[in-house]
Amino acid sequence: MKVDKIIVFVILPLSLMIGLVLLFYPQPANQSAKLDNIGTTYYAGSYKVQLKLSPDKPRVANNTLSFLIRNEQDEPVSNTQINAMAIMPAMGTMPEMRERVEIETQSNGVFQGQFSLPMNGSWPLSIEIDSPDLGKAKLSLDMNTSRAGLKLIAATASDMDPEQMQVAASEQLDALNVDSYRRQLIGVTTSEVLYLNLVKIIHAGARVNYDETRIFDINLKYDAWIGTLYADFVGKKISKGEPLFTLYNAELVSAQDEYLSSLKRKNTGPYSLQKAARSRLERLDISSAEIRSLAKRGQVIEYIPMLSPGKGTVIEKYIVAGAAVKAGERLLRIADLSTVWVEGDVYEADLPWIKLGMQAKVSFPEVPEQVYSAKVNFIQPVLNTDTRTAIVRVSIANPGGLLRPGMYARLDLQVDLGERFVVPEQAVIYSGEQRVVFLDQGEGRLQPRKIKTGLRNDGYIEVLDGLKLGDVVVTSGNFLIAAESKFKSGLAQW
Amino acid sequence: MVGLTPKGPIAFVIAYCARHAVQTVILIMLMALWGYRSFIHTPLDAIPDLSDVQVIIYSEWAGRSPDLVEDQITYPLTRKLLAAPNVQFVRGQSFMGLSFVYVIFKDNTDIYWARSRVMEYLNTAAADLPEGVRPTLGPDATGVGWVFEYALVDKSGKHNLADLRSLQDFKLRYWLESVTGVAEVASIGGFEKEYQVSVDANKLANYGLTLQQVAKAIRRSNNDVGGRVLEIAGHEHFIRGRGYIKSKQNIESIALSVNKFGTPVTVRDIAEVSIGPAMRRGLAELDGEGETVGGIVIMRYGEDALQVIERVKQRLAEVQGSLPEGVEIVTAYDRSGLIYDAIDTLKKTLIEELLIVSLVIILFLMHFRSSLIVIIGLPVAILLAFIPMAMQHLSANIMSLGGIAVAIGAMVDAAIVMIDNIHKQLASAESGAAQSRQALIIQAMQEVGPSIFFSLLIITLAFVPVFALEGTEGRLFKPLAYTKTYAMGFAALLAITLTPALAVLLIRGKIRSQPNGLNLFLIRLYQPIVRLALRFRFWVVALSLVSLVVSIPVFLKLGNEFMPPLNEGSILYMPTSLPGMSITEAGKVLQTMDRQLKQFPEVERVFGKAGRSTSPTDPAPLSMVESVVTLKPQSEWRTGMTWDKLIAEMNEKLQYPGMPNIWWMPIQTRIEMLATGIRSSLGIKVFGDDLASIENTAVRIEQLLQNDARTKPYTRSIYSERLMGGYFLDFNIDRDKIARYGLTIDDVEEVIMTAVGGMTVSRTLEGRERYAINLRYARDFRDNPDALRRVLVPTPSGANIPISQLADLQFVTGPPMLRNEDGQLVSFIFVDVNGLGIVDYVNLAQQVVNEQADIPQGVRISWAGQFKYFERAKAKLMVLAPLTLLIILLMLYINHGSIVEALIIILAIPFSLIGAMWLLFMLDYNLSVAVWVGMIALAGLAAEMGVLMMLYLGLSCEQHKAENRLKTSADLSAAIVAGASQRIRPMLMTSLASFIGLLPILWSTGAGADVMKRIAAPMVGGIASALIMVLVVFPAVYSYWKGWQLR
Repeated sequence: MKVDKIIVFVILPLSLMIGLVLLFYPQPANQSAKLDNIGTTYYAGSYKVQLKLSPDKPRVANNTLSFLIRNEQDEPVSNTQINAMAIMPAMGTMPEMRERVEIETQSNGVFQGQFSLPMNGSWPLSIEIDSPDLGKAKLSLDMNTSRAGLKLIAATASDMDPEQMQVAASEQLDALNVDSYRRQLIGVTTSEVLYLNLVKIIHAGARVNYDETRIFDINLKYDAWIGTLYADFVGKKISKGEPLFTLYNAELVSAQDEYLSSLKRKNTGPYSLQKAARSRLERLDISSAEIRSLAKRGQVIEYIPMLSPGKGTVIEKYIVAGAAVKAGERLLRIADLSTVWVEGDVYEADLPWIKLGMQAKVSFPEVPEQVYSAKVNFIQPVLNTDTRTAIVRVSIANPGGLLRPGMYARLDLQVDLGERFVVPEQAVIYSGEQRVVFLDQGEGRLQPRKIKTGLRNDGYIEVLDGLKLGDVVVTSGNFLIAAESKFKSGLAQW
Repeated sequence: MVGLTPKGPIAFVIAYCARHAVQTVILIMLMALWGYRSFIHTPLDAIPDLSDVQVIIYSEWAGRSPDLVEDQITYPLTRKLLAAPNVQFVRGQSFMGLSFVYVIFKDNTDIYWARSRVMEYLNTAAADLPEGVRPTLGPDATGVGWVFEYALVDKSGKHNLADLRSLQDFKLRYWLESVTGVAEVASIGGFEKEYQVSVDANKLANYGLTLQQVAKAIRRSNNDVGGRVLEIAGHEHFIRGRGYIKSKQNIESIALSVNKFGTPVTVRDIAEVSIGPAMRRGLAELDGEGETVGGIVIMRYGEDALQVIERVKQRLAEVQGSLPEGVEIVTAYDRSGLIYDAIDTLKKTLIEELLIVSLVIILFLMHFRSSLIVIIGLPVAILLAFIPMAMQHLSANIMSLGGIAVAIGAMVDAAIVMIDNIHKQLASAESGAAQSRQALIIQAMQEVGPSIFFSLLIITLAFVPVFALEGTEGRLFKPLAYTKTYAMGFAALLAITLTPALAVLLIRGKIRSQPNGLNLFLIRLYQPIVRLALRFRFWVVALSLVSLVVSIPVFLKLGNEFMPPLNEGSILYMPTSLPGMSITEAGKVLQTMDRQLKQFPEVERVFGKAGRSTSPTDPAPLSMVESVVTLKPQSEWRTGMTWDKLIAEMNEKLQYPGMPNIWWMPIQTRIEMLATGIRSSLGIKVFGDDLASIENTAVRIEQLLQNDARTKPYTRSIYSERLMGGYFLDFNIDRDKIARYGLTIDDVEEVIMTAVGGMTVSRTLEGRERYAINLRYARDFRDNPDALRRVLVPTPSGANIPISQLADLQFVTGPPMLRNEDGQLVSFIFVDVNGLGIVDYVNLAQQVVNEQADIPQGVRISWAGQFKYFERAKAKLMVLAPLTLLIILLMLYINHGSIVEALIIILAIPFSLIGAMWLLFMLDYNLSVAVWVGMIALAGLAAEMGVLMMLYLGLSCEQHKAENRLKTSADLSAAIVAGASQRIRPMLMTSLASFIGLLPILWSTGAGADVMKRIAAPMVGGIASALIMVLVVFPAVYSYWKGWQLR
C-alpha cells in the first residue's frame, strides 16, 4: 500500500512534469551553453551563418529553422535583425504565397524561427541579416518539401567588407549561383563584351532612275517632214553618229544647194561665202560628217539623214516615218544607261544621319544575288511633301544594262559609327524601360546588371553604360536565369 | 427502463423478428439482393468530384493584351452574368488574347439548368463585345475530369506535326467526343496549319497598295454560292458558283489592282504565301523524343470515370485501323489504373477487416455458429448501404468506401453484445428447462437490445456535424459521411431484426457455462485493476484529468493541411517559371526535362505539356510545364526504391534554374487549382476600377497592418500581390502628329493589328478541314524594335509614313493577367494571422484601415479567405455540435433515465481524444478535415463504449440491489467490480473489434490508403484511450456517483 501511494503521489506527477518540460522546452536544454555546429557554414558578408531545419525535410505544417550566427572571429553575434521569408512562386492562376519565419533570439548568436508551410512544393528561402556592427548580408537558399535540408543559392556581399557594402547595397543586384550542371540543363552560352565597328543601317525604298545628266532630246529648229525613221522603236540602242531618221525641209534643201554652189565657186568666190553656207547647214543641225558626205557627193538630197549626237537608248519617240514635225517639237529622247541613278526615299527622321559620300548598298529584292556598293552623291535639299521623304542618290555603272530605270531597289545607307562596345542582341533582357544583362563572374556566379543600350545592328547592340571590355555576358538561357534571379532575390529588383 | 422485464418498441421488434425468423431472413436477403444490384451499378471513381457548380465562359481575341481583354470582354460579361439567378459569384481572368469567366452557382444547382441560364445572359451580353469575339461555354466538366490523355506518334516519319494536328483536330477529336460521357476532347501541341500571307512592306508601298486593300481582296475571293436551279428536259440542275480558296496558288493569284496597261498586281507580287503554324500557346512532348500532338479526354460532370475510360479505349481500338499509315496512339495518362488500385486497396482492407473482426468474435465466443451471425450480418449491412447511395448517385470511391471501412468495427458491436448476453443467459440458465431456449434467447436480446440499438443510433447521429462542412471539404467528405451513416444505420436496424432472427436459427447446441480460458484470464487480469481503481478513485480521476490537460499542447503542436495526401501512382511534374516565357524557350526546356525523367528506370512514360490546350478548363500559361510521369509497376523498380526516394532523386537531377520544381499528382493538382482563391487564412480583396489605385491602396494597407501598433503583434506576414511581370511594347500614338497627316487613331492601330500582329482575314473550307488565312508583314519587317519603328502607315494623301513618326515606342512592364471578381478588378492581400482569432483580427484591422488607409473613391475592400468557410462551417458546427451532443444526451437520458448517468457517459468523448492526439503526434500526421472526421466518428464510438459500461455497471447494481446487497460502500464496490469484470468480455470484444478492425487501414499501402489512414488514426488511438477510460476511470466515477446516491 505504501508503495502504491508513493507511485501515485510522487513518481507519476514527477514523470508527467518531466514529460511536459521535455515537450515544450527541448531547445534551451540542448543549446544553453554550447555553440556547437549545427550545419554547414555559409559565409555572407562578415557573417558566418549556420542553419538547421527541423524536421530536416520541411513539411506542410510547423517547421523550425535554427540559426547560428558568428562573426569572422568565430564569436557569436547577437545584436542582429534577421528577416527570413519562404516564398512559393505564383503558378498559373495560383498567386504567390509567402510565409514569414518568426524569429526569436534563443541565446547569444543562436536564433530560432517558426514557420508553417501551407502546401507541398518549392519554397525558396531568403534571409536578411542586419546588425549595426557588421552591416547587411543576404542569403538565398533553396528549400523544397520533397528534399531534406537547405541548399545555398546565393550569399551576397560575401566578398565585400561592410563599409563598401553599405554603399554598394543599393546599386548592386543580388548575384546568384548556377552551377555548371544546371547551366547545361538550360544550355547557357556566353559571349564577351566586344569592341566592334558598329554600323547603323538606314533602309530606304528606292528606284532605279536615268542618269539625268545623260539624257538628250532630238528636235528641230525648223518645221520638217520625216522620211525614213531609223530610230523606229522605243528602247532601240543608238550609238553616236548613227542616223536616226531622214528629214525634208525646203530651207534645208536650199541650204545644201547654196553650200554646193559655194563649193563650186571654190576658187573664185570669197572663202567667207563657203564658210557661211557651211555654217548655215550646221545651224540647221546637219552634222559635219553629213556635210562632208554632201560635199563628196556633190548633189543635193531631199531627205537628209539626221545623225545621233551621242550614244544611248531611245526612251521616248513621238514620230513615225513620214510625220510632219514643227520646229522645236521633241522628236526623240535618248538616254545613256551606262550609268544609272538609284534614288531612295529617306524619311524625315532618318535624314540627319545621311551625309554626302557615305557608303550605301543597293540590292534588288527580285535578284538578291546582285548587290552594288556606291557612295551617296546627292541628298535632295527639299522634302517631298507628298511622300514626306527626301531623295538620296547614288550612281551605279550599268555596263550590262541589267539595271533598268523604273526597277524597285532597296537602298541600305550605312552610317559608320566607329568602334563601340557591343554585346550580342540575345544577351539583353528588355524589362520595361530597363535593360538587363547577366554577367558571368566565373565559378557559377551570375550577376544581373542594369545597362544602358544604344543602337543595334546586325545582331549586336551597343552598350553605353554598365559593362566593360572583357566582361562575359549570358547570351542564351536568359529567360530562366532571369526568373531564377527574381525567385531567389525574394523581392523584385527590376 | 433498463431492466429484466423488457418492454418498448425495440424489444417488441426483437421479439417479433425472432419469432418470425425465417420470414425475416428471407425479407432481408431480398433487400440484400437489391443492395447487390445497386452495388454493381454504382459508378466508380477515385475520388469524388470536388468542383463547384461552375460554368466557364471562354472567349478568344487573338493578340490582345490582358487589359484590353479585361475592358472589352471579361468586364462586360461578368457584369451581365452577375444578375443571373442562383449565382454565387462571378470571377474573371484576362490573359493575353484570352478571357475566362467562371460563373459559380450555389451548391446543388443543376449544372444544365445553370448552363442554360448562362446562355440566356450571354445572348444579351453579346452586343457589348467587340466584333469577332464569340464567347463560348466551357464543357460541362472541370479540370478534375481529365481522365485520359494520349499522344499521336508517327515513327515512320511520313506525317509532320501539322498533319498529326489536323488528324487530331478534324478526325480523332470528333470520333472520341461522340463517346458517351465525354464532354470534350482538347488538343495540345503540334502545329495548327494556317495559310500565311507575309507581305513585303516595301513592295506594298511601291505598288501604292495598303494592307487593308489586300485583306479586302482576299476576303472577297473566298466564297461558294448557289444559284437555284436550271431545268433541262424535266431534270433539275443545281447551279453553283465555285470560288473557295483551296490552295496556296489560289491565294497567290488573287488580284489586288490592275495598272493602266491591264497588268494585274496579284498577291504573289507583294507577298509570300506559305503554309505555316498558327500562333501557338501550348506544346506537347513525349518521352523527351520531340514534340508531339496530344489529346485530352475530359469527362462529363458526374459520369462514371471508369466506364468512360473503357469506352474511350474501346473507341480508340476501333479507329486504330482508320488512322493514316504509321500513326500510332500512345496512352499518356490513364486514370482507370488509379481507380482500380484504389478500389482494390479498399477491397483488400474491407476483407481484412471482415476477417479480423470475425476472428475476434470466434476467439472470444469460442462458438463458430454464433460468429456466423456477425459474419453474415456485416456484408448484408454493407450491401444495404448501397441502396440509398445508388439513389443519390453517389459514386463508389476512396471516400465513400472509406466510410464503410471506418464503420465496420462499430457495425458488429450490436450483434456481439447481444450474442454475448445470449451466451451468458444460456450458460446461467444451465438447466434450460425452466424456459424454452427460444424465449431465453429473446429475453437475453431484449435485455441489451434497446441500449445497444440506441448506442448505434448515437454513433450514427454523432456523424451529423460532418454534413455541416461546406465547399470542397464538404464535397470530399460528405460521401464518406453518407455511406458511414447509411452503413451504421442499417447495422443498427439489422441488429434488432436480422440478428435476433439469426440468433434463434443459429445458436444451437451446448453453450459452456464456464467462461473459456481467454475470458477467465481477462477477468483475473482486470479484477485487481478495478479494485485498485476504486481504492484510489480520487487519484484515478485526478490523473485522468491531468492527462487530458497534458494532451492539449500536443493538439496545438499538430500541423494543419487542407487535404491529406493521396498517392495516385503517377507523378505530375510541374515546374513553373515567371510569366513571359517564349514558346521556343519553353519547348527547349520541356524536351530536356522529359528526356531526363525518361532516363529513370522506374519511368514508363513521360508526357509533357507546356502552355495550354484548347480546353477552356485549362488556363495554363506557357511558363507552366505539366509533365505526367507514368511509373512502372512497383515490382519493376530498382530494389529499395520508394516513392519518396524516387521523387527526391528526380528532384536532385532536375534542377532547372528559374523553374522551381513541384512534384504533385494529377488529380490532386487539378483539385488544388480549383480550390484556389485565397489560400491563406485571411485575405483582403481590394476592388476598384483602375489598377493603379488598387495597387496603391493594397500596398498602403500592407504597410499599415504591418506597422500599426494594434495589428503589428498579430500580423505574422502580410503580402499584397503585385501584378507585374508581363512585358509589353507600347505604341503611344501622338494625336497631334497623326492629325498633321490626316490620320485617325484607328488608321494607325489597324496597321499595328494587321501588319505587326497579323489578322485572320478569312478561312478556307477544304472538305472537313478549315484553316485560317493570316495576313501579316513578313518577318523581316517586324522582328525587332528597329523594324517595328519602320512599319508604314498609309496616309490619305497616298504617302506611307513610318510609324515612329506618329507614335513613340516604349517598353513597359505590366500585369500579365488581370483578375476580376463580380465585375470589378481585384487584387489580393494575403495575411497570416498569429495569436489572435481571425474575427478579432479582422475587427482590429478594419479599425486601422478605416482610420488611416484613406481609401480613394471607387476602391472597396472586402475581407475574405478560407476563414470565411471556416467561419460559416464553425457557425453551423456551433449549432450542430451542441445539438448532436444534446441529442446524444437526450437519447442517453431516455435510455438510462438519469441525466447524471448520461453525463458520465459523455465524459468518454473528451477522454477518447487523448489517445487520438497522441497517436497523431506519434505518426506525425497533420490536422486535416480527414482527421477531424475521424475524431467525430470516434466521439460516437466512445459514447457507445460508455453506454455499454454504464449498462453493465447498472445491471450489476440493480441485481445487487434486488438481492439487497447494496448497503455500504463496500457493497457498492463489490457490485461495481462484479459488474465491470463479469462483462469484460463484451466490452473488450466491441472495442477490440473496432480497434483491430481499423488496424488494417493503418498498415495498408497503395492508392488511396493515405486518406483512410488519416481518418482511422484518431479512431485507433481514441479507442485505446477510451477503453482505458471506460475500464478504469468509469468504475471510479461511478462509485463516486452511486456512493453519493447511497448516502
